[in-house]
Amino acid sequence: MASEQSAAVADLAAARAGKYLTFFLGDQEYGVEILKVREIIGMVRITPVPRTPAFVEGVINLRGKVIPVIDLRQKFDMASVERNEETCIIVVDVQGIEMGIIVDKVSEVQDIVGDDIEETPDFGQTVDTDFILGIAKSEGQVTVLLDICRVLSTEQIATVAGLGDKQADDGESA
Amino acid sequence: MNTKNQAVDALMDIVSGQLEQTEPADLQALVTLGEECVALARAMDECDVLAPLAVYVRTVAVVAERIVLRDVADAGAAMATVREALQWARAMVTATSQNQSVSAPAADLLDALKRDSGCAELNAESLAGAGTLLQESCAEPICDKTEPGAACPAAASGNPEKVRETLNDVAMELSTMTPGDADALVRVRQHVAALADAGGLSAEASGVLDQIVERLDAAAGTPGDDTAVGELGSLFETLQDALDAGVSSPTPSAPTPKAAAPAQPKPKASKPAAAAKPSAADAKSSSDRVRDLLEAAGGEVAAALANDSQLIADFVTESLDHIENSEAALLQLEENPSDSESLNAVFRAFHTIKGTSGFLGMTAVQELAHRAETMLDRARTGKIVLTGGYADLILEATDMMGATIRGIQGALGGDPFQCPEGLDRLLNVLADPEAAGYSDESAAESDPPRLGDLLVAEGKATRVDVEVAAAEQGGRPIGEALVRSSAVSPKDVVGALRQQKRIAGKDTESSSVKVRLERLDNLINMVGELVIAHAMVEQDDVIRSAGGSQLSRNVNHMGKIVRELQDLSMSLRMVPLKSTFQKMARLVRDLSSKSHKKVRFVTAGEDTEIDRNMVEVISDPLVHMVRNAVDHGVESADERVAGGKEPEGTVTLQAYHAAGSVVIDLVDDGKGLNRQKIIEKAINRGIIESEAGMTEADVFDLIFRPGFSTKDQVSEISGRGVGMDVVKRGVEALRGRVEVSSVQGKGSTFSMRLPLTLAIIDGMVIRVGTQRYIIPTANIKTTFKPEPDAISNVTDRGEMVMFHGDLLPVFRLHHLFGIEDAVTEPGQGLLVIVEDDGRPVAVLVDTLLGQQQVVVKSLSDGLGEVKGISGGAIMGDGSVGLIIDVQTMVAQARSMDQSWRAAPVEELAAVSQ
Repeated sequence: MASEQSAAVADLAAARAGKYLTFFLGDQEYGVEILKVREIIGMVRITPVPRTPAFVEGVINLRGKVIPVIDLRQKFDMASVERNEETCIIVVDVQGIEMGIIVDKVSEVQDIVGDDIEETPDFGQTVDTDFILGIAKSEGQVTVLLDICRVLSTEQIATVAGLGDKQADDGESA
Repeated sequence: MNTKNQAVDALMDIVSGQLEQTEPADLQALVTLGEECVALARAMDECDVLAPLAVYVRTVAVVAERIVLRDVADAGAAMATVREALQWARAMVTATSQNQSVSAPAADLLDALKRDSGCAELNAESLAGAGTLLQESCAEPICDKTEPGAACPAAASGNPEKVRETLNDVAMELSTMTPGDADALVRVRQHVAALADAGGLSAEASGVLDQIVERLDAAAGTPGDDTAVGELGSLFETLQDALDAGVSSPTPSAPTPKAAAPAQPKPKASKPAAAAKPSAADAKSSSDRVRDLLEAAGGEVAAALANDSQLIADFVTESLDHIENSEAALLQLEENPSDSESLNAVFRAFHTIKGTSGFLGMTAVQELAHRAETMLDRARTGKIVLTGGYADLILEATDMMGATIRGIQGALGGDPFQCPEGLDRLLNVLADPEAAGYSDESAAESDPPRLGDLLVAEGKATRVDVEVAAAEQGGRPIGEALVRSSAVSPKDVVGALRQQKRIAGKDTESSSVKVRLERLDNLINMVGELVIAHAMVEQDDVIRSAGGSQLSRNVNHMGKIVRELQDLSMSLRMVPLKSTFQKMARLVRDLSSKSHKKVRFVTAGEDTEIDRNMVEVISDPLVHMVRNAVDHGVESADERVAGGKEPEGTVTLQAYHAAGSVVIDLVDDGKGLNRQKIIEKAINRGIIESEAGMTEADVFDLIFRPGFSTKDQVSEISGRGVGMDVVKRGVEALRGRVEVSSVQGKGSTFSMRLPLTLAIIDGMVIRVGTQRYIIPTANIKTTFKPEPDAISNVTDRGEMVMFHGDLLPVFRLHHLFGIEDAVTEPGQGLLVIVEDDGRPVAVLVDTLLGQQQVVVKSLSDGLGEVKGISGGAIMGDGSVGLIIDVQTMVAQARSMDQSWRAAPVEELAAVSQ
């Protein structure tokens, strides 16, 4: 039984293995699958969109296309920091929809092997771990691998936007 | 004595003079006498007192005519009658003018007239009557009655020329006559009577005349008989033909050269050809005839030129015009083969050329025009449809006509005339297009080179092999025949077949290129970016300070190119709705014939341009809607008549731009929606509980609810709603709206309001705090700066402003959109009056930044629908500006207003907890 389970885990880990683009929010390193990443651009002027959740920073013009940009700090309920030269937008492809995520700093492209990936520890109910693929350890560094599709669940954004209700907005940001 | 009497006297003198010179054998003189008698009779018509005498004089004219036609037993006796009768008439005129009493004509004179005129009792009676009348009128003193006599029937005295004139009069009358014009009918009837009285008609012509009289009587009996004019027209044509036949036959009409002239107008030199035509044509086969025609053509043209080159020059110019017009009309027909107006235009062009060329004696041209016309006539009568091969054939005929006419034009300049190559083939084909393999199907296989030719060209087979195989192929494809005769290996045949296919395929590809929409989008986006990038370069300090330098000139030049590129890219995606509408027209035709309903389909605004990708998406909802309208909206002819409507239903599809949207309306004049049944159904299906408080629009909106109806249930209801939820979803996916309005028994209107996802709109850029927004100019009524105390409020919440005497609600944009750094004091801001469903509301903004054309882009799918925002636009600095959707914004504002009113209660509740 035990060996089967570990084999299953190993399979899962192998499935998650691959190239990840890593970036920082504060001191913590995160990774997104490289295949989901379209491009990395510097900060541009972002137009806020009314009646959207607070983590929706707004929309930008990506070569003539209007795409939404998510402030990942806000999404993760982290304190805002001042944007600087290193702040940038990673454009990712979420189920065919391009979206931008604002991160503090882009780090590198890492090749993460299955053996380095560990299951997400259970933090109990206080921490939502649904959008975490796993935790990768390398050279003493811990990288949180994000399931970016879940992070940017379009349904969640659309639902909130669709409500378009002031109270709902307030509730979300509170 | 008045002038009219004088005219009669003068004419009387002329007639008497003519009478003296006239011998029974002198036919020319007799014809002249007849003409003069008719003129005299006309003059008498004008003169009231002598009017009754006109009939008498006319009868004399008829007698004279009959002498000419050798239609009387004894010409000498008839001549004596004429003489006697005219002498009596002269006596009468003299007596009348001197106010003396007159005596009735002698009975034997009347009898003689009756006998010689051959015109039955009618004339005898009227003649007798004429005498009596004359006597009566002479009892009164002569006075100048100036009112004109009744419409005078052009007297046809049996003289062929007169007959022709009368016919011309009739033709004029018919062509200007409106259906149901009783007076005109009476006039035609008079002309016909004159024709009948004239006598001397061939048996055939008389038969036709009888038919005309019958038809006329029928037409007079049924007012509003539209078909009468057309039928009469064709009857008269037949009569004309019958008369022509009579004229060209050698016997009766020969004495007057004038009369013969119109029938044989051809110049001298062309006579051999013309003469050969009727006599030899029947004996020879059609193709022989064509050959003869073409051989004679050169001579004809030369002869015609020698005769009157100016006339020919006019003919050439005129014909080239006609050809140009018919080319345009043919192209129109290509798009819409049922366009009868274009068809008639082409027909007229060929008809006119046929007539003129016939007159000028150019039989080759005439024949080509005639054969093309014959085919066009078949199309006009609906026997064939001018598509595919037929359309090609007519185009070919038009081209050929153009080439021939240009040949004649060349001949005017001195070149020898030659028939264009292929004219003989075309003439033969036109004689029987079906035999030559033409049909309304496109002749697709005619274009690629033949397989045998390909093989010979490649050296895989000899020409002889191919010819032998072709002769023996016996219904098998040539390739197979060649392989069977083991002249060529199967491999070579397959190779040649592929090549043939490739060549055939190439032709269709060259005209247009299919491009993936995505690539097009990318191109357009990139061009947009280029514009912005260029603007940034242009406004760079380095460039601005380099005024007048080569660098700045180059940047300006580039600007022009970039703008043109932008215009071009914008137009790439816009396509007119025409093709979509045509598809619907087709659908309506199919549906109406299937459901046995008469439906007229009217389209308007099909040139309205819409985004290419929208065209594809709206097609489905439209099909649903059109199907509903025809299937269920329009009633059957019987029901319609019972409901007091035209038996033919009308479905109108129209598109137009309105308030920055494209609106597509589908209007039918059918039975409309049944409110009660919809409500019943909705309650049944658990969609609503009761109809309480539901407006008409609310009820009609129910049909768009998913699950409201499935196909079978709909036909029970009002016949509406087949997939209406699908329609609504489809349209909403395009950020559009569907609305329905309906009057029971009168019809329904489905209105699709679609945004121009990629269309350019005029927008007003406004600023609120640090944010910029765009309000479509179409939504803005006006803007004004309010006085600080102009805004009043109701219970501290709902704000209003007086504007032109109206109290308008005021909504603060910064409130709506949660913008913190905006102007909150209305006196410092600006009020923009926008229209919300026709009701004006005021929106408080900080200031206006200016008007700008922007390209509407949908917000990303990632955001879903954002209430109050219809889309984004790329601004000059490369950032995104949001376009305000006034309707949803106001709707949102109203609902927020209500929630604010409710807020204090909630707060109280929160405190009390």
